[in-house]
Amino acid sequence: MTVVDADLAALDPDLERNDVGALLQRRVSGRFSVDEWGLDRDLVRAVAPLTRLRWDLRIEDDHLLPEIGPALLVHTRRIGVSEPIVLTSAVARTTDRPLRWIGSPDRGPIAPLARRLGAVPGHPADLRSLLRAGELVGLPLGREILHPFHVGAIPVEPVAAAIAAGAPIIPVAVIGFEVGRWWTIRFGRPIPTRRSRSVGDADEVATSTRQRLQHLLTDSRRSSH
Amino acid sequence: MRVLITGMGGELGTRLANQLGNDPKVEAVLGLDIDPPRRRHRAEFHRVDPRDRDRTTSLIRGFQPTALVHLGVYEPYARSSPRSAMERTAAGTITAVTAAVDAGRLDRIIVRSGIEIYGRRRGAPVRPDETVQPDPTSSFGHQLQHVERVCTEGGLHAAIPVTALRFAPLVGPSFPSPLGRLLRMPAVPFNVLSDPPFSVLHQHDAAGALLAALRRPVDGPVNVVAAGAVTAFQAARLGHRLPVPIAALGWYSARLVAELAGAPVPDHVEELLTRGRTADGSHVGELLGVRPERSSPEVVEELYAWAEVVHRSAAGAEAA
Repeated sequence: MTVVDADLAALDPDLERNDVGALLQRRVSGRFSVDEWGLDRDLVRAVAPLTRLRWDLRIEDDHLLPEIGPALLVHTRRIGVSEPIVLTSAVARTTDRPLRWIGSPDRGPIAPLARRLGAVPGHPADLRSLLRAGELVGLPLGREILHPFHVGAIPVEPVAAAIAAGAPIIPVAVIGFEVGRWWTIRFGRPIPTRRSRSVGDADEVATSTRQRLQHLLTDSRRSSH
Repeated sequence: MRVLITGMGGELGTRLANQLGNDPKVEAVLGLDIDPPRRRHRAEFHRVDPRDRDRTTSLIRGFQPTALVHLGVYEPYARSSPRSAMERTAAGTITAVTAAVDAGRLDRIIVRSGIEIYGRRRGAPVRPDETVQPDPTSSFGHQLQHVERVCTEGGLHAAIPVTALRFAPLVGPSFPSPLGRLLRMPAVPFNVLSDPPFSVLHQHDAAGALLAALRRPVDGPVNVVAAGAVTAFQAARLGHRLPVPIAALGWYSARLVAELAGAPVPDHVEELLTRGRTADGSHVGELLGVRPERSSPEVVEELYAWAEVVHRSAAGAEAA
């Protein structure tokens, strides 16, 4: 019989130790993981408890999130500071998968930290690459400071990238006040983008996504009243 | 197939020549380089300076190659100074491509390029794929862009496919590269403000991609990048080195110290340490039918896995 020696923790994530001692030990030995876009999973694990202290989340219809494969999560935002963080936290709690949010600054004081936590600058090539790599990607829509329950136009280029990668598009309503503690994250039904679908259909898919997202927001507003 | 390998004296050229020596479809292999090959093989080798246009042209025309594998792309501070690397690369590329095309039997060109060609300008993609237009921001990146342009023009002239293999930075225990040399220093500088990730590629995986491209040429660029990435801090710790935090003007001192210690840092390596360097290599499998076997962290670990030197007495060696 041949016994194949392997690091069991690498085969089964449940066997991986994530206490402070283990995180520090991995840091010192260099055996931590940083991916090509800069995501540092140990750092994300380390700051996760802090997000629970600051934000209280109500997550609805989280069963619609895929456990495997890529997806483009098109979400609303009002001012845009808390939204990426609460959505990342909601996705991690539901699927234990990292969310890569598009549109972080490429340089500047917060850029390195943002990339360590999963942000990616918004170049279309990076979006394509993320979806090809099977990642969950968060795409924030334009800021709606005065009309938080209005969904603006959805850019066509990211939708075309999702179609090219065969990644479903998931509308997500992220509702809350920037200085408040309570946030609601509501996931909508995924819009399939089969590989056979033409990239030329991006306009149609973008319109359909906008309609679903608007419906989701309006519905959330009614239920909150 | 009659294969001409420029830059055969390097690790990649030597390995490729050895692999082609066992291929029954290969009729003859001719190697040209300024340095002799690292191992013996059955290929015909001529030691020639790439800047010696007349001799290079005469050798190539006499050989009548059907395939050109252009590895005569010299990385600054790998085997030569930046100026010499630039001159040899530019002159050698023009001469080799022109002579090989003019010989009249060429049906494919495979050229060694690198992901430095994409550059790391503000707003540039973090992980560019092959559709992203080259926009180099280092002297080595510009060198590679010139090489690709000359080869593409040669390919258009002869109406043949040109495969540009854009390798991630090549490192390995026996591979001369400025990055590998720097990472093996007792103290390794890292950018304290960002410590961006970079991907690398093992020399054997690069040689495997060259062989695959030679057998199945693709017309266009192909990124060849090991999976995953490492940061400079992480690489230093994997090799039990001391990571030295550097910021802003500190890089000037770090370069100076590294150069005095025998590991000069060219601008593309400094850019890698301060801005990161990765690329999307997900197409290589479908295009060439091969994938890098080692991940970036594995390549870096292997870089540090030098076999210990064992001194044996003459009597002991005879008995063995």
